[in-house]
Amino acid sequence: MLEKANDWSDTFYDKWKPIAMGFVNGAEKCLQCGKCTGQCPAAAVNPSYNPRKIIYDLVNGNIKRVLSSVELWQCFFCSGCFATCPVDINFPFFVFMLRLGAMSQGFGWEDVKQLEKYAEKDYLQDGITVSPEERNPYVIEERGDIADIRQKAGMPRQREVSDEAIAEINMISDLSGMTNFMKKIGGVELYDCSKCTPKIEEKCKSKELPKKVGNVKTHYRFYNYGVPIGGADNA
Amino acid sequence: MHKLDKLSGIREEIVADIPIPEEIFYFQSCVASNKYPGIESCTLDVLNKLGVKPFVSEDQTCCGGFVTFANVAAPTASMPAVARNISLAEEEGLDICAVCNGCWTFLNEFGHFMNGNDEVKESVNMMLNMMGREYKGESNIFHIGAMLYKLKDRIAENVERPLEGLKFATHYGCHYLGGGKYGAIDDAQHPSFIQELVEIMGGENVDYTASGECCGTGFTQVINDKEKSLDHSQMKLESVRDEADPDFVIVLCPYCLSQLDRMQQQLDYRRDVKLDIPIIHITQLAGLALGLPKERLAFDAHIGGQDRFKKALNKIGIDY
Ligand code: SF4
Ligand code: SF4
Repeated sequence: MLEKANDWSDTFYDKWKPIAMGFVNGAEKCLQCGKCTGQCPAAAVNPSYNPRKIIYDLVNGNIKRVLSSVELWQCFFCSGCFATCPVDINFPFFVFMLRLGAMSQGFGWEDVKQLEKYAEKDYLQDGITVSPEERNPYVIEERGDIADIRQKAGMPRQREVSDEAIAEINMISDLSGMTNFMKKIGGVELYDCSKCTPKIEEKCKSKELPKKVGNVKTHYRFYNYGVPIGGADNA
Repeated sequence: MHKLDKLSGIREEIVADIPIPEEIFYFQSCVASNKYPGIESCTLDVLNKLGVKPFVSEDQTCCGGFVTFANVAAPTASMPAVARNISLAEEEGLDICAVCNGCWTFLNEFGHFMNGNDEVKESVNMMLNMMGREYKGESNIFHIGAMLYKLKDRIAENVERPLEGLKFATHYGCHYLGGGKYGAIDDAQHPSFIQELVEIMGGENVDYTASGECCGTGFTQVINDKEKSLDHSQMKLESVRDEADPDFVIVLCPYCLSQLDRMQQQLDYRRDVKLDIPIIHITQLAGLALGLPKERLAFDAHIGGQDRFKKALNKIGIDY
């Protein structure tokens, strides 16, 4: 997607707009007022995250800084910025498209890989992205099987999606290249909580991202927008 | 109590445009079906009680919003999936009612995008035609919150279990008011329609500072950057506990419900933060007031706030 655009070029945004399918428009109208950043929940917990600066860099062609940043992956997709922006810049869509751009440059695949499972094992297999399975033993113990609760409420033990519907979304996935994409990065192993040991528990509390992402070569991302301190004390 | 008439930023013109149909396509939500089935049973019962017949289709899949914004599916992959789901309602000639903020914005945004972009619509239809479907762009997508607000007179007539003596706080959720800046029925900064519904049902509203904040799930942040997601939820939930101390927090979105509910246990486990706050969906609130039996409310699927659930439900005569 970005191959043709020259990094650090002030024409990047103009070249990019049409490829981004009209989802991103009007960044040049940005007033740099900072209202977006002021109300941003991601900025509340990650002080170096700053949507205003990302827009500034995009419009001025400072694109390398955006795409190689950790910050690009910290947006909550809450649309709060769009709601308060005086010139209606729909920033979460920018983030969404910029992340695709960053991936084409080899950034951020670790994050996407963690999420791929939900598409492969749940969305495409059952037609439902959130599965009834629980990984948290506390939930299983306290609440029991969700199928029992559904039955008690007078509903079928499981929500059914027809085979036809599942075949259709798989067809869409094949035709649109989504299946291919998922094959490229492969699935990701999640911890099985029923086999938890103190060591795994410790790991779980400070879970690291997987290092290898299928056969895609990845690059380290940088805190390009300042000091990455944050957390509960700053929230 | 709130002086609602002064605060209200409700957009009457949008509310006026919402039809009251005899039947509506109920768009099932993944989280509601598989984590909080009470949302599903309450939606069906509440709509039926208010004279709108819900239509359920097994051909409907997940809206695809999650895999899209997780960057696993490019817009080229999710656009036809959205069109496919909407076309199911069009085949029946029905409008869609979504119970999830995510489903609502996602279907709306991508639907509008296709409607305003003939080229995209054509190529999407090329794919759908292969499976014998067609996207026309005729069905409207309404949020259940807006539907309930539209039906507030019928709710008032049908209250069987007044919620007297109970305190309610609200969490509207980002993707209805923020994402739907122009499509939602209320103001993004000072929403009040849930409060109005609570008043109709006889409950008392309480407010807290962080009421407009995101629940903290951050879409994928809860998976990719859990600590930051927890930070945000902690800030929000502590504000609820310390300032409002409500019997229930009303949410519009099952995903917010899941975050605010489940993170209470996580915060206790990881950070020793004690919270006991029942979080319920707006359809469960309506279910309470319209007198649904406790099995249909299915509060036993909720993780956090179980002690408070018991106390609060006992107050209005439900043996929980
Ligand atoms: S709120 Fe809008 S105009 Fe203001 S800095 Fe943010 S994007 Fe720019
Ligand atoms: S959508 Fe992203 S940038 Fe905008 S306010 Fe939410 S977290 Fe911040």
